[in-house]
Amino acid sequence: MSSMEERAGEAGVPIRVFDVEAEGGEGGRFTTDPYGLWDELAEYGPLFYSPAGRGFFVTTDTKMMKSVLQDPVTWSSKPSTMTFTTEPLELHMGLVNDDPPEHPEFRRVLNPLFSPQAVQPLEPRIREIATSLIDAIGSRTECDFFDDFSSKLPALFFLEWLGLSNDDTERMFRLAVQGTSEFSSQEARDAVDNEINGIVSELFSDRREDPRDDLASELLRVRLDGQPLTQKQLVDIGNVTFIAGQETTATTLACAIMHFAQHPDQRQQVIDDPSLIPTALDEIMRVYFTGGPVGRNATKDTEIDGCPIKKGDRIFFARCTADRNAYPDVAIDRWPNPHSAFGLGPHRCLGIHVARLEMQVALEEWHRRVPEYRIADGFEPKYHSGFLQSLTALPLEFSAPPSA
Amino acid sequence: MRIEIDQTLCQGHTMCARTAPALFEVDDSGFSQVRVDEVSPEQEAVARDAVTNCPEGAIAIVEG
Repeated sequence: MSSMEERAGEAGVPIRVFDVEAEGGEGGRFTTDPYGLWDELAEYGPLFYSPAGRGFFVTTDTKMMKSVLQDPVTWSSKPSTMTFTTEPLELHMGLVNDDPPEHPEFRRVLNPLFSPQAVQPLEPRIREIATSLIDAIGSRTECDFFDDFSSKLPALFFLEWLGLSNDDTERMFRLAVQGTSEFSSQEARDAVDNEINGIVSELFSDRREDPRDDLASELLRVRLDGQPLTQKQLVDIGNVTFIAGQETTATTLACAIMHFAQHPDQRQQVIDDPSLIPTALDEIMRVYFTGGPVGRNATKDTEIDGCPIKKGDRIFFARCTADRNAYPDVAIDRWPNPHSAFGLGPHRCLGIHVARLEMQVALEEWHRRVPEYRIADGFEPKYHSGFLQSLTALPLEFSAPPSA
Repeated sequence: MRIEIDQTLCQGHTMCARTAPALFEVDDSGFSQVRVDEVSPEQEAVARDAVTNCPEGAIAIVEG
Protein backbone atom coordinates (compact mmCIF):
# COMPACT_ATOMS: atom_id res chain seq x y z
CA MET A 1 0.00 0.00 0.00
CA SER A 2 1.40 3.35 -0.98
CA SER A 3 2.09 5.94 1.68
CA MET A 4 0.16 9.17 2.12
CA GLU A 5 3.18 11.05 0.81
CA GLU A 6 3.42 8.89 -2.33
CA ARG A 7 -0.26 9.27 -3.07
CA ALA A 8 -0.07 13.02 -2.48
CA GLY A 9 2.87 13.20 -4.88
CA GLU A 10 1.12 11.16 -7.57
CA ALA A 11 -2.05 13.27 -7.27
CA GLY A 12 -0.09 16.51 -7.57
CA VAL A 13 -0.86 17.57 -3.99
CA PRO A 14 1.96 19.87 -2.78
CA ILE A 15 4.26 18.48 -0.07
CA ARG A 16 5.19 21.17 2.44
CA VAL A 17 6.51 20.86 5.96
CA PHE A 18 4.04 22.21 8.51
CA ASP A 19 5.29 21.04 11.89
CA VAL A 20 2.53 21.86 14.36
CA GLU A 21 4.45 20.42 17.31
CA ALA A 22 7.69 22.28 16.59
CA GLU A 23 5.92 25.56 15.81
CA GLY A 24 4.05 25.30 19.12
CA GLY A 25 7.23 24.50 21.10
CA GLU A 26 9.92 26.75 22.52
CA GLY A 27 10.72 29.51 20.02
CA GLY A 28 8.20 28.20 17.47
CA ARG A 29 6.17 30.61 15.38
CA PHE A 30 2.90 29.58 17.02
CA THR A 31 4.25 31.11 20.24
CA THR A 32 5.14 34.51 18.73
CA ASP A 33 3.45 34.96 15.36
CA PRO A 34 0.62 32.43 14.94
CA TYR A 35 -1.38 34.50 12.47
CA GLY A 36 1.60 35.03 10.19
CA LEU A 37 2.10 31.28 10.06
CA TRP A 38 -1.58 30.49 9.51
CA ASP A 39 -1.64 33.06 6.69
CA GLU A 40 1.40 31.50 5.03
CA LEU A 41 -0.37 28.15 4.79
CA ALA A 42 -2.84 29.69 2.33
CA GLU A 43 0.06 29.97 -0.13
CA TYR A 44 0.57 26.19 0.04
CA GLY A 45 -2.81 25.69 -1.62
CA PRO A 46 -6.23 24.35 -0.60
CA LEU A 47 -4.80 20.90 0.15
CA PHE A 48 -1.22 19.90 0.93
CA TYR A 49 0.63 17.09 2.65
CA SER A 50 2.95 17.67 5.59
CA PRO A 51 5.51 14.97 6.37
CA ALA A 52 5.91 16.33 9.94
CA GLY A 53 4.96 14.07 12.85
CA ARG A 54 3.44 10.88 11.44
CA GLY A 55 2.43 12.76 8.27
CA PHE A 56 -0.94 14.31 7.58
CA PHE A 57 -2.91 16.12 4.93
CA VAL A 58 -3.81 19.74 5.62
CA THR A 59 -6.72 21.60 4.10
CA THR A 60 -6.94 25.39 4.14
CA ASP A 61 -10.17 25.44 2.15
CA THR A 62 -13.58 25.93 3.76
CA LYS A 63 -15.48 23.78 1.22
CA MET A 64 -13.06 20.89 1.63
CA MET A 65 -13.22 21.17 5.43
CA LYS A 66 -16.98 21.17 5.26
CA SER A 67 -17.06 18.05 3.09
CA VAL A 68 -14.90 16.20 5.64
CA LEU A 69 -16.51 17.57 8.82
CA GLN A 70 -20.04 16.94 7.58
CA ASP A 71 -19.22 13.28 6.88
CA PRO A 72 -18.37 11.70 10.26
CA VAL A 73 -19.04 8.21 8.89
CA THR A 74 -16.10 8.48 6.48
CA TRP A 75 -14.01 10.80 8.65
CA SER A 76 -13.78 9.68 12.25
CA SER A 77 -12.99 11.64 15.41
CA LYS A 78 -11.65 8.36 16.85
CA PRO A 79 -9.28 7.02 18.01
CA SER A 80 -7.35 10.24 18.05
CA THR A 81 -7.91 13.72 16.72
CA MET A 82 -4.25 14.40 17.29
CA THR A 83 -3.32 14.06 13.66
CA PHE A 84 -0.17 16.14 13.97
CA THR A 85 1.70 14.57 16.89
CA THR A 86 4.83 12.46 16.42
CA GLU A 87 3.64 10.07 19.12
CA PRO A 88 0.37 8.32 18.17
CA LEU A 89 -1.39 10.06 21.03
CA GLU A 90 -4.93 9.08 21.88
CA LEU A 91 -7.27 11.70 23.16
CA HIS A 92 -10.39 10.51 24.97
CA MET A 93 -12.41 13.66 25.36
CA GLY A 94 -16.05 12.76 25.65
CA LEU A 95 -18.14 13.99 22.70
CA VAL A 96 -15.04 15.39 20.97
CA ASN A 97 -13.75 11.89 20.19
CA ASP A 98 -17.13 10.28 19.51
CA ASP A 99 -18.63 9.15 16.20
CA PRO A 100 -22.08 8.08 14.95
CA PRO A 101 -24.31 6.50 16.07
CA GLU A 102 -23.50 7.40 19.72
CA HIS A 103 -22.43 11.01 19.13
CA PRO A 104 -25.61 12.40 17.50
CA GLU A 105 -27.79 10.66 20.10
CA PHE A 106 -25.78 12.18 22.94
CA ARG A 107 -25.79 15.63 21.33
CA ARG A 108 -29.54 15.45 20.75
CA VAL A 109 -30.23 15.23 24.47
CA LEU A 110 -27.52 17.75 25.45
CA ASN A 111 -28.32 20.47 22.91
CA PRO A 112 -31.45 21.76 24.72
CA LEU A 113 -29.34 22.52 27.83
CA PHE A 114 -27.13 24.81 25.75
CA SER A 115 -29.72 26.43 23.44
CA PRO A 116 -30.03 30.24 23.22
CA GLN A 117 -33.24 30.06 25.29
CA ALA A 118 -31.58 27.91 27.96
CA VAL A 119 -28.55 30.16 28.45
CA GLN A 120 -30.20 33.60 28.22
CA PRO A 121 -31.24 33.56 31.93
CA LEU A 122 -27.52 33.38 32.82
CA GLU A 123 -26.95 36.91 31.55
CA PRO A 124 -27.46 38.80 34.85
CA ARG A 125 -25.00 36.54 36.66
CA ILE A 126 -22.38 36.96 33.90
CA ARG A 127 -22.80 40.74 34.15
CA GLU A 128 -22.47 40.58 37.92
CA ILE A 129 -19.19 38.66 37.73
CA ALA A 130 -17.82 40.93 34.96
CA THR A 131 -18.74 43.93 37.14
CA SER A 132 -17.01 42.48 40.21
CA LEU A 133 -13.82 41.83 38.21
CA ILE A 134 -13.75 45.42 36.96
CA ASP A 135 -14.53 46.66 40.50
CA ALA A 136 -11.50 44.74 41.73
CA ILE A 137 -9.22 46.90 39.57
CA GLY A 138 -10.22 49.68 41.95
CA SER A 139 -8.26 52.91 41.55
CA ARG A 140 -5.51 51.37 39.44
CA THR A 141 -4.92 52.71 35.93
CA GLU A 142 -3.35 49.51 34.66
CA CYS A 143 -4.09 45.80 34.67
CA ASP A 144 -3.29 42.61 32.90
CA PHE A 145 -6.47 42.03 30.94
CA PHE A 146 -5.79 38.31 30.65
CA ASP A 147 -4.95 37.67 34.31
CA ASP A 148 -7.41 40.15 35.83
CA PHE A 149 -10.40 39.75 33.56
CA SER A 150 -10.55 37.48 30.53
CA SER A 151 -9.28 34.31 32.21
CA LYS A 152 -11.16 35.01 35.45
CA LEU A 153 -14.59 35.55 33.92
CA PRO A 154 -14.96 32.07 32.38
CA ALA A 155 -13.20 30.40 35.31
CA LEU A 156 -15.66 32.05 37.71
CA PHE A 157 -18.84 32.11 35.67
CA PHE A 158 -18.62 28.92 33.66
CA LEU A 159 -17.46 26.72 36.51
CA GLU A 160 -20.11 28.16 38.80
CA TRP A 161 -22.74 27.33 36.17
CA LEU A 162 -21.34 23.82 35.94
CA GLY A 163 -21.64 23.60 39.72
CA LEU A 164 -18.04 23.86 40.90
CA SER A 165 -17.17 26.11 43.80
CA ASN A 166 -14.80 28.91 42.96
CA ASP A 167 -12.22 28.82 45.69
CA ASP A 168 -9.37 27.81 43.39
CA THR A 169 -10.00 29.46 40.02
CA GLU A 170 -6.33 29.70 39.15
CA ARG A 171 -5.84 25.95 39.47
CA MET A 172 -9.05 25.35 37.49
CA PHE A 173 -7.99 27.66 34.71
CA ARG A 174 -4.49 26.19 34.60
CA LEU A 175 -5.99 22.70 34.33
CA ALA A 176 -8.23 23.80 31.46
CA VAL A 177 -5.20 25.25 29.65
CA GLN A 178 -3.38 21.96 30.13
CA GLY A 179 -6.47 20.22 28.80
CA THR A 180 -6.10 22.06 25.50
CA SER A 181 -2.32 21.87 25.26
CA GLU A 182 -0.85 18.84 27.03
CA PHE A 183 -0.01 16.50 24.18
CA SER A 184 3.63 15.74 25.05
CA SER A 185 3.01 12.08 25.94
CA GLN A 186 0.10 9.75 26.61
CA GLU A 187 1.07 9.64 30.28
CA ALA A 188 1.08 13.44 30.69
CA ARG A 189 -2.19 13.69 28.77
CA ASP A 190 -3.90 11.05 30.88
CA ALA A 191 -2.69 12.75 34.09
CA VAL A 192 -4.46 16.00 33.07
CA ASP A 193 -7.66 14.18 32.14
CA ASN A 194 -7.57 12.12 35.34
CA GLU A 195 -7.32 15.24 37.48
CA ILE A 196 -10.20 16.96 35.68
CA ASN A 197 -12.27 13.78 35.70
CA GLY A 198 -11.74 13.45 39.45
CA ILE A 199 -13.07 16.98 40.00
CA VAL A 200 -16.16 16.53 37.84
CA SER A 201 -16.81 12.99 39.03
CA GLU A 202 -16.99 14.23 42.63
CA LEU A 203 -19.31 17.04 41.50
CA PHE A 204 -21.79 14.60 39.96
CA SER A 205 -21.68 12.36 43.03
CA ASP A 206 -22.46 15.38 45.24
CA ARG A 207 -25.33 16.56 43.04
CA ARG A 208 -26.83 13.10 42.84
CA GLU A 209 -27.35 13.37 46.61
CA ASP A 210 -28.09 17.09 46.72
CA PRO A 211 -29.39 18.54 43.42
CA ARG A 212 -29.01 22.29 42.96
CA ASP A 213 -29.73 24.89 40.30
CA ASP A 214 -26.71 24.16 38.12
CA LEU A 215 -25.66 22.39 34.95
CA ALA A 216 -24.42 19.29 36.77
CA SER A 217 -27.87 18.79 38.33
CA GLU A 218 -29.50 19.37 34.91
CA LEU A 219 -27.22 16.77 33.37
CA LEU A 220 -28.29 14.27 36.02
CA ARG A 221 -31.89 14.84 34.89
CA VAL A 222 -31.08 14.16 31.21
CA ARG A 223 -32.49 10.92 29.80
CA LEU A 224 -30.99 9.06 26.86
CA ASP A 225 -33.29 6.32 25.54
CA GLY A 226 -35.23 6.66 28.80
CA GLN A 227 -32.15 6.06 30.94
CA PRO A 228 -30.09 8.51 33.01
CA LEU A 229 -26.61 9.21 31.67
CA THR A 230 -23.98 6.79 32.91
CA GLN A 231 -21.24 8.07 35.24
CA LYS A 232 -18.83 7.78 32.29
CA GLN A 233 -21.08 9.90 30.05
CA LEU A 234 -21.45 12.47 32.82
CA VAL A 235 -17.71 12.64 33.41
CA ASP A 236 -17.14 12.90 29.65
CA ILE A 237 -19.44 15.88 29.29
CA GLY A 238 -18.09 17.36 32.54
CA ASN A 239 -14.52 17.08 31.25
CA VAL A 240 -15.22 18.65 27.88
CA THR A 241 -17.23 21.54 29.31
CA PHE A 242 -14.60 22.14 32.02
CA ILE A 243 -11.88 22.47 29.37
CA ALA A 244 -13.77 24.08 26.50
CA GLY A 245 -15.67 26.52 28.70
CA GLN A 246 -12.58 28.35 29.86
CA GLU A 247 -9.55 28.94 27.63
CA THR A 248 -11.38 29.58 24.34
CA THR A 249 -13.49 32.40 25.77
CA ALA A 250 -10.56 33.86 27.71
CA THR A 251 -8.37 34.03 24.62
CA THR A 252 -11.04 35.38 22.29
CA LEU A 253 -11.88 38.17 24.73
CA ALA A 254 -8.21 39.07 25.08
CA CYS A 255 -7.84 39.12 21.29
CA ALA A 256 -10.87 41.41 21.03
CA ILE A 257 -9.38 43.90 23.49
CA MET A 258 -5.96 43.70 21.82
CA HIS A 259 -7.64 44.42 18.49
CA PHE A 260 -9.65 47.36 19.86
CA ALA A 261 -6.55 48.80 21.55
CA GLN A 262 -4.79 48.71 18.20
CA HIS A 263 -7.84 50.09 16.30
CA PRO A 264 -9.24 52.94 18.42
CA ASP A 265 -11.60 54.02 15.63
CA GLN A 266 -13.34 50.62 15.74
CA ARG A 267 -13.34 50.69 19.54
CA GLN A 268 -15.09 54.06 19.43
CA GLN A 269 -17.72 52.58 17.10
CA VAL A 270 -18.66 49.86 19.62
CA ILE A 271 -18.62 52.34 22.50
CA ASP A 272 -20.94 54.65 20.57
CA ASP A 273 -23.15 51.75 19.47
CA PRO A 274 -22.88 48.61 21.66
CA SER A 275 -25.39 46.87 19.36
CA LEU A 276 -22.38 46.37 17.04
CA ILE A 277 -20.76 44.02 19.57
CA PRO A 278 -22.34 40.77 18.25
CA THR A 279 -21.13 41.29 14.67
CA ALA A 280 -17.79 42.61 15.96
CA LEU A 281 -17.37 39.38 17.95
CA ASP A 282 -18.02 37.28 14.87
CA GLU A 283 -15.38 39.24 13.00
CA ILE A 284 -12.89 38.96 15.90
CA MET A 285 -13.44 35.20 15.96
CA ARG A 286 -13.03 34.95 12.19
CA VAL A 287 -9.70 36.78 12.33
CA TYR A 288 -8.20 35.67 15.65
CA PHE A 289 -9.66 32.32 16.66
CA THR A 290 -7.09 29.64 15.87
CA GLY A 291 -8.36 26.46 17.45
CA GLY A 292 -10.94 23.77 17.29
CA PRO A 293 -11.16 20.19 16.15
CA VAL A 294 -7.77 19.65 14.71
CA GLY A 295 -8.28 16.63 12.53
CA ARG A 296 -10.03 13.51 11.39
CA ASN A 297 -9.00 9.97 10.44
CA ALA A 298 -10.40 8.18 7.36
CA THR A 299 -12.47 5.10 8.24
CA LYS A 300 -12.42 3.83 4.64
CA ASP A 301 -10.88 4.51 1.26
CA THR A 302 -12.16 7.67 -0.32
CA GLU A 303 -10.75 10.70 -2.08
CA ILE A 304 -10.42 14.38 -1.47
CA ASP A 305 -9.97 16.91 -4.24
CA GLY A 306 -8.87 14.09 -6.57
CA CYS A 307 -6.28 12.70 -4.15
CA PRO A 308 -6.82 9.05 -3.19
CA ILE A 309 -7.29 8.58 0.55
CA LYS A 310 -6.76 5.24 2.28
CA LYS A 311 -8.33 4.06 5.51
CA GLY A 312 -6.30 5.47 8.42
CA ASP A 313 -5.12 8.61 6.61
CA ARG A 314 -5.09 11.77 8.70
CA ILE A 315 -6.29 15.24 7.79
CA PHE A 316 -5.73 18.48 9.72
CA PHE A 317 -7.89 21.59 9.35
CA ALA A 318 -6.29 25.00 9.05
CA ARG A 319 -9.56 26.73 9.88
CA CYS A 320 -7.85 29.93 10.92
CA THR A 321 -6.19 30.09 7.50
CA ALA A 322 -9.49 29.59 5.68
CA ASP A 323 -11.39 32.10 7.80
CA ARG A 324 -8.70 34.79 7.64
CA ASN A 325 -8.30 34.27 3.92
CA ALA A 326 -12.02 34.85 3.30
CA TYR A 327 -11.69 38.67 3.45
CA PRO A 328 -8.62 40.93 3.33
CA ASP A 329 -9.71 43.45 5.98
CA VAL A 330 -11.23 43.47 9.48
CA ALA A 331 -14.72 45.00 9.45
CA ILE A 332 -16.59 44.89 12.76
CA ASP A 333 -19.96 45.24 11.04
CA ARG A 334 -19.32 42.42 8.54
CA TRP A 335 -22.55 40.52 7.96
CA PRO A 336 -23.07 37.87 6.61
CA ASN A 337 -19.93 36.34 8.10
CA PRO A 338 -20.15 32.52 7.94
CA HIS A 339 -16.83 31.76 9.70
CA SER A 340 -15.90 28.39 11.15
CA ALA A 341 -14.64 29.46 14.59
CA PHE A 342 -17.26 27.33 16.35
CA GLY A 343 -16.53 24.39 14.08
CA LEU A 344 -18.57 22.80 11.32
CA GLY A 345 -20.60 19.62 11.13
CA PRO A 346 -22.02 17.59 14.01
CA HIS A 347 -19.16 18.46 16.39
CA ARG A 348 -20.03 22.16 16.26
CA CYS A 349 -19.15 23.76 19.61
CA LEU A 350 -21.82 22.78 22.14
CA GLY A 351 -21.28 25.99 24.09
CA ILE A 352 -21.64 28.38 21.14
CA HIS A 353 -24.54 30.33 22.64
CA VAL A 354 -23.23 30.63 26.17
CA ALA A 355 -19.81 31.67 24.79
CA ARG A 356 -21.40 34.37 22.64
CA LEU A 357 -23.43 35.66 25.56
CA GLU A 358 -20.46 35.68 27.91
CA MET A 359 -18.23 37.54 25.44
CA GLN A 360 -20.94 40.02 24.52
CA VAL A 361 -21.66 40.92 28.14
CA ALA A 362 -17.92 41.14 28.87
CA LEU A 363 -17.28 43.59 26.00
CA GLU A 364 -20.33 45.66 26.93
CA GLU A 365 -19.32 46.01 30.58
CA TRP A 366 -15.62 46.52 29.88
CA HIS A 367 -16.21 49.33 27.40
CA ARG A 368 -18.85 50.96 29.56
CA ARG A 369 -16.42 51.14 32.50
CA VAL A 370 -13.02 51.30 30.78
CA PRO A 371 -13.54 53.00 27.41
CA GLU A 372 -9.97 54.32 27.09
CA TYR A 373 -7.13 51.82 27.25
CA ARG A 374 -3.88 51.13 25.50
CA ILE A 375 -1.40 48.29 25.39
CA ALA A 376 1.62 48.87 27.67
CA ASP A 377 4.79 50.00 25.88
CA GLY A 378 7.15 47.27 24.80
CA PHE A 379 4.54 44.50 24.97
CA GLU A 380 5.20 41.62 22.60
CA PRO A 381 2.33 39.10 22.47
CA LYS A 382 3.28 35.56 23.50
CA TYR A 383 1.07 32.59 22.83
CA HIS A 384 0.69 29.25 24.54
CA SER A 385 0.09 26.74 21.78
CA GLY A 386 -2.09 23.66 21.83
CA PHE A 387 -5.56 23.23 20.37
CA LEU A 388 -5.43 26.97 19.91
CA GLN A 389 -2.84 29.68 20.29
CA SER A 390 -3.76 31.40 23.51
CA LEU A 391 -2.49 34.82 24.56
CA THR A 392 -0.63 34.49 27.86
CA ALA A 393 -0.79 38.14 28.94
CA LEU A 394 -2.19 41.49 27.85
CA PRO A 395 -0.91 44.44 29.92
CA LEU A 396 -3.15 47.50 29.58
CA GLU A 397 -2.92 51.09 30.75
CA PHE A 398 -5.96 53.36 31.15
CA SER A 399 -6.30 57.11 31.08
CA ALA A 400 -8.46 56.85 34.24
CA PRO A 401 -9.49 54.11 36.70
CA PRO A 402 -12.65 52.18 35.81
CA SER A 403 -15.75 54.38 36.13
CA ALA A 404 -18.59 53.47 38.45
CA MET B 1 -40.07 32.03 -3.15
CA ARG B 2 -39.73 29.52 -0.29
CA ILE B 3 -36.97 28.58 2.16
CA GLU B 4 -35.91 25.04 3.01
CA ILE B 5 -33.55 23.94 5.78
CA ASP B 6 -31.77 20.63 5.39
CA GLN B 7 -32.13 19.38 8.97
CA THR B 8 -29.39 16.81 8.41
CA LEU B 9 -26.95 19.69 7.86
CA CYS B 10 -28.31 22.29 10.30
CA GLN B 11 -26.14 22.31 13.43
CA GLY B 12 -27.82 25.15 15.27
CA HIS B 13 -25.32 27.94 14.69
CA THR B 14 -28.47 30.16 14.52
CA MET B 15 -26.79 32.59 12.13
CA CYS B 16 -29.98 32.55 10.00
CA ALA B 17 -32.22 33.60 12.89
CA ARG B 18 -29.80 36.41 13.71
CA THR B 19 -29.86 37.49 10.06
CA ALA B 20 -33.58 37.23 9.44
CA PRO B 21 -35.58 36.78 12.66
CA ALA B 22 -38.82 37.24 10.72
CA LEU B 23 -38.02 34.18 8.58
CA PHE B 24 -36.29 31.80 11.01
CA GLU B 25 -36.83 30.76 14.60
CA VAL B 26 -34.77 28.69 16.99
CA ASP B 27 -36.48 25.65 18.49
CA ASP B 28 -36.03 24.37 22.05
CA SER B 29 -33.07 22.26 20.99
CA GLY B 30 -31.35 25.28 19.47
CA PHE B 31 -31.96 24.34 15.82
CA SER B 32 -33.46 26.59 13.17
CA GLN B 33 -36.94 26.28 11.73
CA VAL B 34 -38.52 28.25 8.89
CA ARG B 35 -41.29 30.54 10.12
CA VAL B 36 -43.02 31.35 6.84
CA ASP B 37 -44.52 29.42 3.95
CA GLU B 38 -43.69 32.11 1.42
CA VAL B 39 -40.99 34.78 1.43
CA SER B 40 -42.41 38.18 0.52
CA PRO B 41 -40.60 40.18 -2.19
CA GLU B 42 -39.27 42.68 0.36
CA GLN B 43 -37.79 39.81 2.44
CA GLU B 44 -35.96 38.19 -0.48
CA ALA B 45 -32.66 40.02 0.02
CA VAL B 46 -32.43 39.16 3.72
CA ALA B 47 -33.41 35.55 2.93
CA ARG B 48 -30.43 35.35 0.55
CA ASP B 49 -28.17 36.83 3.25
CA ALA B 50 -29.33 34.07 5.59
CA VAL B 51 -28.38 31.46 2.98
CA THR B 52 -24.91 33.03 2.67
CA ASN B 53 -24.55 33.28 6.43
CA CYS B 54 -25.18 29.60 7.16
CA PRO B 55 -21.74 28.10 7.87
CA GLU B 56 -23.05 24.62 7.06
CA GLY B 57 -24.74 25.51 3.77
CA ALA B 58 -27.95 24.04 5.15
CA ILE B 59 -30.41 26.58 3.73
CA ALA B 60 -31.81 26.58 0.21
CA ILE B 61 -34.02 29.03 -1.64
CA VAL B 62 -36.76 27.42 -3.74
CA GLU B 63 -37.92 29.84 -6.43
CA GLY B 64 -41.49 29.94 -7.64
